[in-house]
Amino acid sequence: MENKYSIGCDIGGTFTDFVLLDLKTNERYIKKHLTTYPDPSEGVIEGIEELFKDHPSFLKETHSFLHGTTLIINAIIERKGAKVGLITTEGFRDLTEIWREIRYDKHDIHAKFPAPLVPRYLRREVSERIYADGRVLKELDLEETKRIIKELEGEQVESIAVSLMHSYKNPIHENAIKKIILDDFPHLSYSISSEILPEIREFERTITTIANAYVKQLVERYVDAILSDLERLGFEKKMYLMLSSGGLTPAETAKEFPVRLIESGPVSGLIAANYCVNLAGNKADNIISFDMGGTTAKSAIITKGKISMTREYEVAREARFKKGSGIPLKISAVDMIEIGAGGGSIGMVNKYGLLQVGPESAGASPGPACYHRGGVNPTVTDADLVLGYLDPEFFLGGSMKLDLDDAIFAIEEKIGKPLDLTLIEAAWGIHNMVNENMAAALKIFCGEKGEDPSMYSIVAFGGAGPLHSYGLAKKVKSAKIVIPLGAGTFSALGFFIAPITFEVFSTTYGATMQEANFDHIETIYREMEEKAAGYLSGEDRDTLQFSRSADLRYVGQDYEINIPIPSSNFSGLTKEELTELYSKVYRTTYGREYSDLQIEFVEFRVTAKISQPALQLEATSRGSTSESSALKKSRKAYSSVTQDYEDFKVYDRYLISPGMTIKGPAIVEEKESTIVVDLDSFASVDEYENVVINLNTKGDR
Amino acid sequence: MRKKLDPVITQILWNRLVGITDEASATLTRTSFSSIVRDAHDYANTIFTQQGDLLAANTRGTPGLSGGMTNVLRSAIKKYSIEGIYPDDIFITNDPWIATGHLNDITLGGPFFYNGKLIGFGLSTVHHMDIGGRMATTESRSVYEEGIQIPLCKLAEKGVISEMLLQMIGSNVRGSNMVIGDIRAQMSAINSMAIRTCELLSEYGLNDLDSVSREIISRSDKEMRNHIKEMPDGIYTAEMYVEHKEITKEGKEEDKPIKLQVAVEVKGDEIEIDFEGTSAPVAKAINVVYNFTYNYALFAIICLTCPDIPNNAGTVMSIPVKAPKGCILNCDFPAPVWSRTAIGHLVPELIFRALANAIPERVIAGSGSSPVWVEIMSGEEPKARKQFLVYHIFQGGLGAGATNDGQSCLSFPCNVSNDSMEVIEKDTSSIIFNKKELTCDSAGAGKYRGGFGQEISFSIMSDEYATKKPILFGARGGRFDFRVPGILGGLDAPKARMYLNGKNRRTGTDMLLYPGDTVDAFPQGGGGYGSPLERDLELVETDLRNGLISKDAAKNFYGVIIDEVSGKIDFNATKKNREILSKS
Repeated sequence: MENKYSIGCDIGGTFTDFVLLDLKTNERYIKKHLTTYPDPSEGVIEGIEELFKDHPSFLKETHSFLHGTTLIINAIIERKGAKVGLITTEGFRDLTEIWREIRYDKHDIHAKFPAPLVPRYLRREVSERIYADGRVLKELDLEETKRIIKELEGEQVESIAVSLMHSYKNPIHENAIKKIILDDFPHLSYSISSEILPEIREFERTITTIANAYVKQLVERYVDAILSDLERLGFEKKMYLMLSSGGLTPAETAKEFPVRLIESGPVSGLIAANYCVNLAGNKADNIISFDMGGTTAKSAIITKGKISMTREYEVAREARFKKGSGIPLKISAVDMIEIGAGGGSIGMVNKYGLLQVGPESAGASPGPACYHRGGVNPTVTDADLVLGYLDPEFFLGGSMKLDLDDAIFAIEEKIGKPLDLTLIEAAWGIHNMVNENMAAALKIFCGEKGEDPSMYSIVAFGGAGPLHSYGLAKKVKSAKIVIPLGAGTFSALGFFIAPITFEVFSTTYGATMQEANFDHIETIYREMEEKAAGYLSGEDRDTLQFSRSADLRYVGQDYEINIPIPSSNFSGLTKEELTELYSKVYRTTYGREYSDLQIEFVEFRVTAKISQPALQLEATSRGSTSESSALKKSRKAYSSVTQDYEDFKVYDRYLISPGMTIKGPAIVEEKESTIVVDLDSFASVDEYENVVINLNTKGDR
Repeated sequence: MRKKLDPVITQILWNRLVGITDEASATLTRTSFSSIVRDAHDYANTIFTQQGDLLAANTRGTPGLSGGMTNVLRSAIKKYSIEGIYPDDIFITNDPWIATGHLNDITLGGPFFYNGKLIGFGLSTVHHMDIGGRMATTESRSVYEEGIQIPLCKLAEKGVISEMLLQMIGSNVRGSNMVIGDIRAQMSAINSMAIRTCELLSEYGLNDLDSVSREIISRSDKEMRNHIKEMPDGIYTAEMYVEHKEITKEGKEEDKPIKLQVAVEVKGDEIEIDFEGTSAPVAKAINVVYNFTYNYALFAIICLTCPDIPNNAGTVMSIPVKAPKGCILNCDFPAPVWSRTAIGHLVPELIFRALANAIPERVIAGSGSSPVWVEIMSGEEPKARKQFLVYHIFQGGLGAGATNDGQSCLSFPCNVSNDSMEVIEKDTSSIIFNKKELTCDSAGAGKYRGGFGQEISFSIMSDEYATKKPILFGARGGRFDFRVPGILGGLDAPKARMYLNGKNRRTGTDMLLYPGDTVDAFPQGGGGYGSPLERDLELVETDLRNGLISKDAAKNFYGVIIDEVSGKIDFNATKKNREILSKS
């Protein structure tokens, strides 16, 4: 059978999107289906059936089914997971209710914390103890363990999480408990901490293992339902799921480690952004992805092609934008910030008598005042309309009319009059403030990583991203913005680019650089590679690659730096080479190094990767057209440079072509989004139809 | 460039200044060498006006520092005069009376120059892991025994760092790499604030921070006054006692509880807080300097009025705080002050209690986490034969509020996080934890109950791999004689306990631990709010099922009748029983 197609399927809150990619021609077919509740797998299958009608041959000729889903994150937010029982070391059953003991809001004495996923009466202790060096201080009591599992079974527990002290160092007792479950309680689902997160720190390891246990059956049922339906339809190839870390994983592995899939949606857009920029021959570029929608803006950074990752991911926050108010999972995830800034963000006069924008959003209903659906609060979209950036007649390609008078009224009544500002000052205030909020958050985000946003190009997408990227770029002093074509389906492209991966971690060996045994480390890496490859065993191994890295730190510090290991033979490396590698990264991040301090190995990591027969976007074959043919008209819009309305030329995004240069002030309109280029800058169109804005970075206000 | 500060630009500048202190905190945290900064977030980074008024402070971290920081800056300006402060100067001090109340807190500060003109200051305070002296004990007889004192002086002048001073400090502390590393991290934080603030001025075409400072401070002042106006006028008082034993001339221990007393006068848009009537300082190292008292008094008012107000000089203008000179909340040099939290952390609770009837919906009951419980251990790691220093922080339960139970084991009023026990075991190879779990019946009952306290137990390893040397151990925290009070009909939480090898001990004195020794600590839960007879029975049932309250407690405090056969709550019988109980 010919491998002609690949399908990407992304489940969102409202729509389930499908992209069918023709691997030969790179043509993409788009399908949208309403997301089905409570079982989203129904919508997936219905959508595929519809696609099948349009392309009858595709099921037989499809190479793979690539899938991203919000199922897992929603199950945790809505508390719809399994009834989980925890088995832990005697004395430690309350860790996940005690948390870190710190308040996430210094002054709010009534602040709420998430309820534990496993209530206390289902958290049970077994007699056993392993010490930090892995030696067994107290043998596991097998009979007691059996009795406890039986009791949990009696409480209708469906899924068991096992997390014992120092199991990352020696999993012997956890393995014994796993064997009991497999032998005597085969119907129970289980998650073992030394498999899910073999790392030091009992609280994080336990809570991550519990989260895995909480969603495991749900994911199993879901994946199995889709697979059996696909089979029924005649689909014979493999299904892969998108990980929070931006790789794809085979369905069987995903069922075992569902916590690694917790947020697979936004990652895809980021991968696509990285790809688009690299395509256009800007390989050295450092990228900030900027995805601004109706309620929030999301950003991540890509430094020299490497997506910035985090091992800390907080889910189900009690207060959405308050760090520390959610369940802190330790998983590999793209490090992404979410800011309460979108087209629907509401402008208001705060209690200090000053303008505030967001984080409250008018959402889609009632929406901005200009939607004329009963919204009375001025939003960012209303301001953008008043400022002339949006065309009331061409919103969503003209399918929705915007009411300028409503926007003006809301801004004047709620902002202009109370603050004694003119309409323009008030509208510009809202626009400028939301940009500022995003810029401020982005600066702190980059600062935490020792990065400077002015050294980055911004890739803007999402409904409001292209419009606000100019203002954001000015504030963070970024010199270049890249805006890919077709923001609406852009994210789904990431599915076809992401490699198939599996990540393995080990903290079993810790040593200082001086005392480290490099031959032993090589053995550890080999074992890890074998393990990682095992999880990808059903795959085409021709392109299997391993990348090794290690987390190192100065003795006494607690933050490790991940250093890619440049060799597949650790024994061949010298201590001096590694020390220099570490010092170099440390210097870049923190501006100094400590030559008098010892460096220690904390963790080793291996990622096994198999490349997909990747999407090969080709340069457009459309010949260049003249500027005038793409020019629709001109209209008055606000220039931040002259601080007055100027004539902005308005271009049709679908008629501009490679090689064209657009001088600001200009607006480029496509169906789902609008690009603004002020008069101090110009834009060009590259051969992949990305619009590239070059900014004048001198000064801003 | 337009210079007028409209309501848009003002808010942008304000957000940005706070953002600058947060960014500096990120730098500090990432480069720090101590768990106290990294995990416990015991630090503050602040921006001041050139006149010495607080303008912005980082959002995370612990309260209780910014008042002292203001005083450090004003003292530095006084000592050197504005003309004597040069670009790239860094001043430093840990003087408890000038700064934040004990020697472990080292404050650094430096000027911001823009176009050759002084426009403001950046300060950074960090609680350092060690400062020398007797380490973790309240037995010091004066501040001289508590560690190295760094007078207010310049650590750097015109960019030239006094390496001698750093060496001097390094030679006087345990873990000098850590302490000196953190001092350098503080310098980076100040530098980052200076650069960002100047960038901000240039971006907005401003020459200095004067106009924006005026706006920020006056608007914050106005906002705080608006909130105070909503409170009913009156003089509200409260007093509480803290356990204390004194040694008599005959060498006997005598109970001499310390009295803390407050009068909170709400008058229009001002609140005056006066600690008149509070006991005199004591011989033990639990005395509090005025700056520390002042900060926690303000903290309490902010919690009760507008928790989201940014911290700056304007926020606190309407809240004068008086503590008579020579009382334990305003002690004189050279009183020993190492464990100032033992008394100072009770200030918010005292103020909450005074205002309980005036604003019942805002206050919470007493918290088992006040004062903070810390265990400090120093010894030799047996494998690498290196000194270790463990700073182990854990908490009791938070007091209940008008509509919610208290959170179990939550830091208050300071805000510090716990550490991984696995990491402590790994780093010491000597300590093993036996238990960390919630304690049944440790919270005060009420319509809303307090958060639960915990039991935390550890031993010194005694097998053949274990250390042969004793470990120096000291602890602070706990209320052993007086219970954590409930409020508005809520019940008190039981007292704290601590045991060494099963024998009753107290915090405050340091001791040597030997292989096989076990220390078991029980921080209390929080107090309850409202009558327990009004508590929702389903909530009682949940606590029962989770083993967090005993059947006896359900019966005695909550008036619950449990069906002997099913073991469940008999709802009808309980209702009748509660009616009878509430009449009596």
